[in-house]
Amino acid sequence: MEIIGINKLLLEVKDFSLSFRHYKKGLRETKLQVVRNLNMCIHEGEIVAIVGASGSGKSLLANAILGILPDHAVQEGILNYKGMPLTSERQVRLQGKEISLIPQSVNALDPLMKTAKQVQAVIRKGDKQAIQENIFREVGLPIEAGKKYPFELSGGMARRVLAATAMVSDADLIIADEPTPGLDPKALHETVAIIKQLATAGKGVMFITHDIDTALTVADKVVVFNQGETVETADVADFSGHGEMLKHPFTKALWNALPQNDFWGDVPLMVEEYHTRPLKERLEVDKISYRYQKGPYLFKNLHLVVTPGEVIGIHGYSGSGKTTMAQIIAGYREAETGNVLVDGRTKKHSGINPVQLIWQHPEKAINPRWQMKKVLVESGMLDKELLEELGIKHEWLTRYPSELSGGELQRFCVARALHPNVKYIIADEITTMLDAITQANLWKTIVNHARTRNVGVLVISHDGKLLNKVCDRIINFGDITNL
Amino acid sequence: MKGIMKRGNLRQLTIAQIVAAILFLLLIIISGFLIGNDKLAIHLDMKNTAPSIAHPFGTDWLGRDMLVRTLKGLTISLGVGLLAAILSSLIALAFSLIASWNKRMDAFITWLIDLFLSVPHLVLLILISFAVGGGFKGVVIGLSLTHWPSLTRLLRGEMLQIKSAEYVGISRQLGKSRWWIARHHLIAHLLPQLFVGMVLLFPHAILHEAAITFLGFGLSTEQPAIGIVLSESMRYLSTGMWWLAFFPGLSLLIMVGIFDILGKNMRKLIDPFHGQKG
Repeated sequence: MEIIGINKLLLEVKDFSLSFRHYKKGLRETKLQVVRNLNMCIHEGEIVAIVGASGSGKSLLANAILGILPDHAVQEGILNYKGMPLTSERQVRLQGKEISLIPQSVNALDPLMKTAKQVQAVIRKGDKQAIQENIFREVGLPIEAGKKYPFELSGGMARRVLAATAMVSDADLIIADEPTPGLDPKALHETVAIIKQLATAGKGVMFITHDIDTALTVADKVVVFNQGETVETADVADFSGHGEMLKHPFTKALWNALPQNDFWGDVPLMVEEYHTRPLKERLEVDKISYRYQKGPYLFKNLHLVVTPGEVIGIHGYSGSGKTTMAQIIAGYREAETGNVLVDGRTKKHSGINPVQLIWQHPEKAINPRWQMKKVLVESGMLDKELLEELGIKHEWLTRYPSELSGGELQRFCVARALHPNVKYIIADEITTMLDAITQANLWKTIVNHARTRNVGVLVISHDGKLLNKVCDRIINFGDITNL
Repeated sequence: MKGIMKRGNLRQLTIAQIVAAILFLLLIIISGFLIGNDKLAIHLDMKNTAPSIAHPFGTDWLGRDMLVRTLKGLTISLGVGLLAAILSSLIALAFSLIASWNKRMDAFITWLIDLFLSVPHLVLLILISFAVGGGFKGVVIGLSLTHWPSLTRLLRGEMLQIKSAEYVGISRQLGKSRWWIARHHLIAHLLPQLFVGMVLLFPHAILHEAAITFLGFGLSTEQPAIGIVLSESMRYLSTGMWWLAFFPGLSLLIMVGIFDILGKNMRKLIDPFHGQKG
């Protein structure tokens, strides 16, 4: 092991395990083991990708290294940084100085501080403004973005601000917890280039992702996690063809679930004749326009029709207003002009809205104070079959949202949107944050329901490969904004 | 801490503390009710005695037993403070929910808060308690109608924040009524703040009760409320009768402290983010 390179060992994780204390019923306290037998190491100048299904413990490992686990977590095993154990006092000393994090959730940005200030706050010496503007240019953010508050930025832009924050600190070990989802292909390319740059500068990078595709372009080594265990440590070259070079069946499944590989698996897709239905039954977005206060128009006279059973894909650059359009169609916002017609009528509904939006960030779409059971009760979706189809485990129902991963939470959001009275679903980047297997599963469920129950689906995504796989037709958002 | 943790987990410990605090408060209330007026009688032959076994808290200038007077006073003050704090926080909760209804309601509630905060507490308190007839009833009504504004402002802010959360929007799109959302999303979020606010209101209410009683607009002087006991003892403090102020004051402090413990522990039980810390 020591002979591998001249490079020093930066981080070593050995037989690491992690459990949560929690209360089952009343006063009984039980321990819930979520991570066990975790092994990996990172050398200087090396990029190690950690790939795994959501809920496999990737983010928990990152939090353990940084010392920001929730208070009811109990950890065991060895965590060494530069040859010395990481104690909690040492973690506090190293946080942000030697170990730095690019967090997963854009909630990590201070909502009350302009983004340029947030990045500058991390810089210790030199001309703060110059460094910040420089890093903004490097990650492809316009300089004016620094004068905005996080809520004024799109998901992709906010993510770039987070990446910029970690890059300006002079840490030796950078933990990138899902820094790439939600980025359009161009921005993704830039981010990957920056991370590679960091490694060339001698820093160790722990690149946590569910996206094997990106992992393979960035990393030197790929560590695959499943259900809290290290399944395999593979070289990048092993991922090819149908995954014959991969040792573990799980790694193979993950590789094969990618949209460009064998996405649908052996589940047959139901094909229904949807265009024979009467024309009256459709979701029509009739010439809507929108802008934020006195800003420039995001779109003018946007027109769009979704027929039942049809799956339409929309792609476009981040910040172009796709999410805003989705929110208007689903009734969260009012358009400046224009209407949204469901089956020919502007919807004045009592009860559940026939158009349901599934949000990009499930952790914001679920009340953090509720047990998951209540989320299902709220929407009246306790159908056992559907829950099984989505892979929602029974024991998750008694957990709180903070104890589940993004992928696990998103399944609940999908279950909620598949209510029998829902006729149209808008999916706004819903699987961007999820691993390939969960992504394939969710889309199988959604597309199957769309076909069998004649539900129209509008898919918003940056991932062209995914859209090609699931959609009947694909629209470029730039073509319909009329700007 | 380790020894305690071994014997029971955190939730058991929390409940044990809550039960202990409630028992202690009940003890004060029950003992206060059991003490008849005969125990408060004047014994001029026993006046101004220092604490002894027969009179642990000593006696005052009329020979009345200070332990009995303190317990009775605590019961009255507890009743006044508790009632006023509960009523005030209920008003605050109701107003903050009304403010969540629409923009006009919000503006009205905000205006009401500003109006009440711009008039001095004590003046309003005297006006209201005098207008409704004074005595125990007057003090409680006066206190509860004057102590809600700052808590309402806090709750309204929290409520506005939670109202714009994505999951509340989703709930609305799922066809949930305003009342359902208020009950399940808003109140669940406001409850911890409400409890803390109530605990903070409690000593405030007691002190104001003592203040207007001192000014002669509150409880009548033959009722030994803790405020009256304390203000009377001030006159005798310079003559070296320290026990007249010391023991009742300490008891009041302990009672408020118990309330604080109660509030914090209840919060641990209610709030999942605090409930599982080791």
